[in-house]
Amino acid sequence: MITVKNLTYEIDQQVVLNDINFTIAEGDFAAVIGPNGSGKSTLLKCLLGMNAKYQGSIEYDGLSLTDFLKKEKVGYVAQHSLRYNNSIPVSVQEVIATGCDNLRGNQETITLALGKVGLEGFEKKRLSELSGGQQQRVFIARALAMHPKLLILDEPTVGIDQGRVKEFYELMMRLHREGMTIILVSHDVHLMNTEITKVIAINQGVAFNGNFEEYRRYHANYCECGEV
Amino acid sequence: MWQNLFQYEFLQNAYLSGILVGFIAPLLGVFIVSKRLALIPDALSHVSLSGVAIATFLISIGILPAAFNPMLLGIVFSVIGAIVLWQLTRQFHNVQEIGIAIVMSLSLGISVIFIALAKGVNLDLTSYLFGSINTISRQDLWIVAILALSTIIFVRLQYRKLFAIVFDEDFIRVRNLRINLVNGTFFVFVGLVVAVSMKIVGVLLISALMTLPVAIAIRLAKSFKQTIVYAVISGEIGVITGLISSYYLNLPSGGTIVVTLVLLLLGVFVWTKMKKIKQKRLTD
Repeated sequence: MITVKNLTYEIDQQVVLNDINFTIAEGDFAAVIGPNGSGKSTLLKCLLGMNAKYQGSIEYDGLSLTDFLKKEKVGYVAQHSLRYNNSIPVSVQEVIATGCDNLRGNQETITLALGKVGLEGFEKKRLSELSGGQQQRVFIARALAMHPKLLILDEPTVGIDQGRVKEFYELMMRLHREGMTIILVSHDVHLMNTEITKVIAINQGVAFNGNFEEYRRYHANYCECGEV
Repeated sequence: MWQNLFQYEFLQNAYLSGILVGFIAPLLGVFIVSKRLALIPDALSHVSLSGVAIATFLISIGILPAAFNPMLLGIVFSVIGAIVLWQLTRQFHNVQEIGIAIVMSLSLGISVIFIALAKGVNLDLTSYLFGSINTISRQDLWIVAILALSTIIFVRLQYRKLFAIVFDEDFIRVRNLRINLVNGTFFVFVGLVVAVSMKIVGVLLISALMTLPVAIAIRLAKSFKQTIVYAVISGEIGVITGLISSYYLNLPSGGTIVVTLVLLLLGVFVWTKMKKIKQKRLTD
């Protein structure tokens, strides 16, 4: 589905991503991991077309990134979703409407999207009255209202209390089982080890690229060598 | 007062223009405050004043005719300032507050210099700083009316995009929707509204008319649409009550409008607090 070839990205002549190569197949649940500042969020922004001045190529189903984004929809849940202007009253249905066609909040789509994330009947609630975990589910519902082919999430559990993180990942696993292709930047890969089909560890370049079992062996060897 | 209102054209101009600005300033203010750009109207009113000061100077040295209305250059400056500030907020997201402060100080500096240089031309600075609603002509009223109508049509047609932009601009960019034109046009409208409101509430108080009604609405509303409705209602209450009290108390209208809005905000604040305490007691 996604083929990234020789992707390099620089900010102010400093290399943030260096010669990144990987592929993600349709139906994959890919986890992008790496230490802080390793370029994970930058990589996602390249995949979403928000960082346009990169070198190399990103192809979706054989199409260039620009052509794909014109044709298909990519659901995006950002890390900063929890940092929107909380003081402004916004209802849940207004948020989800921004994910609907022509930004028009079709009631059926909104109800369906909220049902998928377990928030039935929350349409009229003020977003700021919800817990961090519920708010993040609203943002996922917004992404789902787009009927995306691919869902990309950037550290979605930042700011959510630990008790709710597991609940959140259960939702991710359910969406994956329903056939959604997911790319997730997270530090909590261990919570979804049974579901993740691909792990891409980056630290400017790709440090590891394989399935979860291979990653576990790689990680164990890596730790034994004392190279952490 | 009502008899005078029907009798004197200047009072009609004052009240009608006040009511129109009381509608459109909070309408745009909701989007400005949501974008965390509450300083923008303040900066633009200063930019507008620098246009008025330069026009006055140009009149004093004979480049512009004596009959030229300095407000026109004020409007041009405000629109240019709005476009500059729009670019500034786009390109330098992290330092936009400093950028706005620089534009504001620079404009005020330019205003002071050109007002001092414009010898022989009488510029009533106080009326620009604090507003002089009684000097509004029928022509001014028509300008405000056309602007009000265009602003309402623009917001009505582009509401969904404007909301999506202020709520989460990154998400809209990922959706591949074109937003630059809407965003830019919005800033131009803000520039125009600030410039034409200068005579009504004055440079120093225009941002209050754009932000105070929003501060009131935020405490009451449950959705963005409700915030807009409550902000406009609060704006109108502030303008109409402020104008009536300014008439009876013989005080400057700009000041009475702003004080009315602050009193309304305090009232709403106390009422919502009491409501919360009552609810808590009931649940306990």
